[in-house]
Amino acid sequence: MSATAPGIEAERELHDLYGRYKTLTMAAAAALMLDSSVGDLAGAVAELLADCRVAAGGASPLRPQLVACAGATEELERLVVATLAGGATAADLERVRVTHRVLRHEVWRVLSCEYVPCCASDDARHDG
Amino acid sequence: MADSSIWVVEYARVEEFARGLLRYGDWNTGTTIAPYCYAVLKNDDHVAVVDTGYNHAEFGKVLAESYGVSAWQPADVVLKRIGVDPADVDTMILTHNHFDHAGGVEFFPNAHVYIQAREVSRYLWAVGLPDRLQWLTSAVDPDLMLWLVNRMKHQKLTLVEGEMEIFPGVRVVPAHDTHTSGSQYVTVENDRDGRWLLAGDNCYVYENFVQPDGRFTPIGLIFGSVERCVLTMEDMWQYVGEDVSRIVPFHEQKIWDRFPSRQFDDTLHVAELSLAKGESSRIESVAVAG
Repeated sequence: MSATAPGIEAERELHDLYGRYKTLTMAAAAALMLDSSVGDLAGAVAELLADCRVAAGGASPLRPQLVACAGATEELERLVVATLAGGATAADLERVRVTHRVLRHEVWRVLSCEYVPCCASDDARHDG
Repeated sequence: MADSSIWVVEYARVEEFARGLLRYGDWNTGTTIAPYCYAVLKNDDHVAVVDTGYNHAEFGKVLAESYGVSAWQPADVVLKRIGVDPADVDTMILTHNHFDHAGGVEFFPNAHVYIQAREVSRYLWAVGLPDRLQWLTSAVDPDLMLWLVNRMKHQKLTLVEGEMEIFPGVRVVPAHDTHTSGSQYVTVENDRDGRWLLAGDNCYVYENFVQPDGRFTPIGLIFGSVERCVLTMEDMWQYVGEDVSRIVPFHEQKIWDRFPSRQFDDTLHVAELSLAKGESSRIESVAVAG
């Protein structure tokens, strides 16, 4: 990834949108498992989708990633809407999974893996 | 009668794992090998996995390049070494939902899943947090959560509230606000050979418990409370009668020396901790290696 100012700004934009998408997707899944309403998430998902579409329609050097983010969020919104209507299907769920995987793949092409799990980080590995 | 066989299977490793992650405070002390493992329990009626590893096809290249994860093998390969088909696994206990423990759930299509409800519900809480606090959720992938929803739709998910017996002799015990918000560990009490404790990431290595000064030192990656980690370690220690050999960490390379074990051509190991009555050793009679 380029370290130019436009590149950094584009990375920040993607990082923000992907982070919001992840948080909302995990919350939606948690709500479905806990039989809790996804209604509280609907507004935030719609807002994210609008932001993703604007970003994807711009001149960002990370347009493929932003398009993927819009696609994944679109499916997330479809799941939320279907759930609120009482009719979310396994197919709705599967589409969210598929588009999430596409998005994650795209994001990890340009941003570092965001996990902070039971692994040595790059920095730590070089400490030794 | 409670009598489960116990194996620990290694599915990948990190060759240069920061010691400071394994033991809190061991900063700037270099690296060591950390195996990535999960456990298999088998009795007359059930085959269970405690954690699942992760799916390299989805995560592998990124993890290999980011963290140095190597030698990964899928569940069908590592379980074949102990004569188990992943499709025969009917029970899956997830100690927590980090990718390296719960990222391989799809390898076990017929398993009923047990995870603490709190490990799920915290993501509803987290949605209200600003982005600057999302480090708290960053080790979890949405795909796991979505897969769990799918399991729920098939009536194959139990969100556990606290402690619960899974099958005779096998229980999950909550370890909330430790490594993660809704962590749990697994206890096995066999009539034949007593108590075992499968730690998940409530400890990484034996040295979390055993030090010359006699004091516990917790792991170095804690999303919850250090105090809760140490007090949970005390609960674990008391459960096994202060016998560290009965605690099974999933990132401890010394496990291969402590128990009968076998190393395969791909360098990965299997350890055989306990054999139920009538079970033959998988370590001595493996037909297909590597």
